[in-house]
Amino acid sequence: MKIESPVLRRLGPVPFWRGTVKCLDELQRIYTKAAEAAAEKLGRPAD
Amino acid sequence: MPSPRSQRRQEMKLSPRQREALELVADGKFVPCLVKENDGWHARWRALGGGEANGWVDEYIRAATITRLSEDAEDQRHETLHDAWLLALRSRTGLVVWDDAECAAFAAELEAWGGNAEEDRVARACIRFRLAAVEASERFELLCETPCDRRGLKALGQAAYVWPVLVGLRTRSPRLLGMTLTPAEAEDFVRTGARHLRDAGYGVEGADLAASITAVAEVSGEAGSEGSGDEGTRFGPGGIRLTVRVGGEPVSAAEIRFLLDQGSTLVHFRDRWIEVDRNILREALRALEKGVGPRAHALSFALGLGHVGRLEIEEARAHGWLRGLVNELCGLKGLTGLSGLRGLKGMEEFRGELRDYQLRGVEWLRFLTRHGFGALLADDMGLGKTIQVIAWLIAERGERGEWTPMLIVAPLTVLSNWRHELARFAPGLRVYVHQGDSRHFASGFRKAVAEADVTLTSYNLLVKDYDGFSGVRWHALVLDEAQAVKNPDTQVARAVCALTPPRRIALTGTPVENSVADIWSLEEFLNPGFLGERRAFTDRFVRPIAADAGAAAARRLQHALEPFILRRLKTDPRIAAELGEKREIREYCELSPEQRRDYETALAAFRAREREPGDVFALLTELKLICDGAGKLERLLDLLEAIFAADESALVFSQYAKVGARLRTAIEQRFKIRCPFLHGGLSAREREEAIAQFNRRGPRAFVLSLKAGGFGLNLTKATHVIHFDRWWNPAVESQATDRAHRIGQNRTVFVHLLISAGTLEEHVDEILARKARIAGQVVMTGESFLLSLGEKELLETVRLDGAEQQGGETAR
Repeated sequence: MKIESPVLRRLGPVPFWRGTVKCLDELQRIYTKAAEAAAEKLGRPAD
Repeated sequence: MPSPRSQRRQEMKLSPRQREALELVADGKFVPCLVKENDGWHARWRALGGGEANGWVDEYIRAATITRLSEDAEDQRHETLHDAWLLALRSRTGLVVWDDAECAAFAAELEAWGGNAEEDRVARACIRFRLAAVEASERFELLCETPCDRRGLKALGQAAYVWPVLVGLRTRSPRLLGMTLTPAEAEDFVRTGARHLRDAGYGVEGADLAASITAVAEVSGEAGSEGSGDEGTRFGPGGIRLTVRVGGEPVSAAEIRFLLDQGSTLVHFRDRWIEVDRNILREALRALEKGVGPRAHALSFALGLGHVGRLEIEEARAHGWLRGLVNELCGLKGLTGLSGLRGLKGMEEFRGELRDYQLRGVEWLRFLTRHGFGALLADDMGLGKTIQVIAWLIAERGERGEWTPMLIVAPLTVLSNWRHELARFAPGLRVYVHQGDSRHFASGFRKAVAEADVTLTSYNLLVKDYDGFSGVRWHALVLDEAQAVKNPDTQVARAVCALTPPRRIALTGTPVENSVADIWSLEEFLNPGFLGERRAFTDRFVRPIAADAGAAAARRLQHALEPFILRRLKTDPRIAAELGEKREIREYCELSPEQRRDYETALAAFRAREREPGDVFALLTELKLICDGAGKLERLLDLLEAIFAADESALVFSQYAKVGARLRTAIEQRFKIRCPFLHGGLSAREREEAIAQFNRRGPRAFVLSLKAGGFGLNLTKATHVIHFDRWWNPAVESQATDRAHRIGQNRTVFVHLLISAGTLEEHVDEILARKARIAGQVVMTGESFLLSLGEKELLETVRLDGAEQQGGETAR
């Protein structure tokens, strides 16, 4: 999955990750969904 | 999805803290963490920079991302703490049920990961990537300078996450790493990798995407001057020398060929990366090798409208005579040479008085047409476009000193007006009116045209009798109400464009700035080729301007068209000062064939019968009512259309109540607006309502009977007063006019007098004007003046001028 979030790209992978789920992919999904919902609440136009 | 209204409600309820939190979430400025709270460890979201918005940030993210699976994360079994934490980030409570010591260790790792942003930023800024081409090879080298400390290595590891190809970097020397990239990898680096690395704070060099492919035109206007074809420049047949630029730097034809030969769309060229648009490059190459456009385009280029297909000319420099012309064109509006007309041969035949702005208009027309350009005179309605053109016609004929057939095409309803204005201001011009059933054809047409200086016809007849018109070598063509040719697909537009006389003028009172698409067709008649191909014009101007009226395209088009369009507004203080408070305009209308028949029948019956008291008055009323028929009504509606188009309002006076009622119905049907009608039969309340209706927003018409509406009203919303029929009593008429023209009115009021040509309306008007000129005042006015005439004078006054004046005869 492409990591779009600047914060995640900057932080890189969580060190010593031992989870079975791909951590950055999952975080990226959350960042996208949360940002979209907040923008809608603020009435910002969709990209 | 919430409706916009409910969204607004939500926004209104937000506290500043909530809004701040939402903005942080929307901008992605938050990180996950693991914190110990009273009831155990929790996966939490916190805002970057922390602060009081944290609670809201966590709540918003959780609410937006919770799923059925994550809802009760704490009740589920997980293989690792990491999995439990990741799921708890989007669970209802965020609770993580796991070994305390392991949680503490992981929390510390997360803290170090998410909390050292500042230190990492500094470390990343110390790392520089540089992309360079490998000589004599298609490959590229990506070098990376980096500090060799712990932070530097960590930041380098993070970079591989940003652009994964970087895992191939190998140490070359203590502070330098490097790797070879294939052309595809290099392209990906330039397109995405470099941007993402920059976003993340790394330094990147050698991966800039150069600006687009453009061109600079040197325009001399001299046909056939040649340059070397392979130096990136060449004078085309129109004297246009083109310099193609890539990323702002001139390139030769050979270099363009090199760019075209590259397999990739992204080419490394002169140490820059060029996005190659093959279509544009091919067009640029063709232009360099074969030259650009015919002579007509030289001016278009010089005025900044040039393009070669999709290759835009970013800059144009005019040289030689063209430079002088461009300077003159651009300075035209400040034209001050007002004496130019006076000394011209033949101008003594002009019988009118031109105001200063009209003189400037005529000078402007002469300048453009003398240089072979078409002119669009777009003065506001009422500023006297007709008289300016008539002065121009006389000057043109006088200057040529030979037979110069000039054609005026106008809508049918204004032909009469032209005929009268020509007779009034230029009695020396021979005019052939090609109109009506008695108009000439074939050799008769050629003879009639040959015996006239000016031929006058309607748009319909131009198309219908096109064979005749196309057989004449016209010296000039004037289009009145030229919006009639705004659609290039119509027969009318095709017909006028096919005539191609050397002098071309178009008149319109409708603003052209708002209808960009229409201007193409008008310019295609006036200055063929100036705006380029229609499709390209649509792509380059119509679409961008429709999307954004303030776009650069709009400014560019406006700048280029400025020399060819003259538009003065009556609200312009200088023009208003010249116009004065009130301006009277005679509008001549044609009788329809039915009206002519009725008029003649009424006259014949009057002549045949024994006179009885009251007969003359009855005849006058009957004739005036006939004059108020279809022909005049059409003219009124056209006039109102122009007034409404300018967002203005009008008062329409008639002395007959039944005519007024008919006018109201016609206006309401044509314009789909409510049109109040004020007459003697209204109660005081109805009268108030009618006035209130007129004063509502938007352009409106108000029909008033002359007697009922002639006094006591203040209707300064109107800037036009139309006298549909005549009382022939200046005192009564100006009292009506003063409804609009009184204290509170700060604009010029235009008074339109509608006169049926060839009828008693015209004859009485002439007699009164003559008397006024001689005596300085009108001694006896109104119907009483007619009632006092003897039988012979009366019949002379009420006569109907024959059909031959309306159609097919040269009048001098």
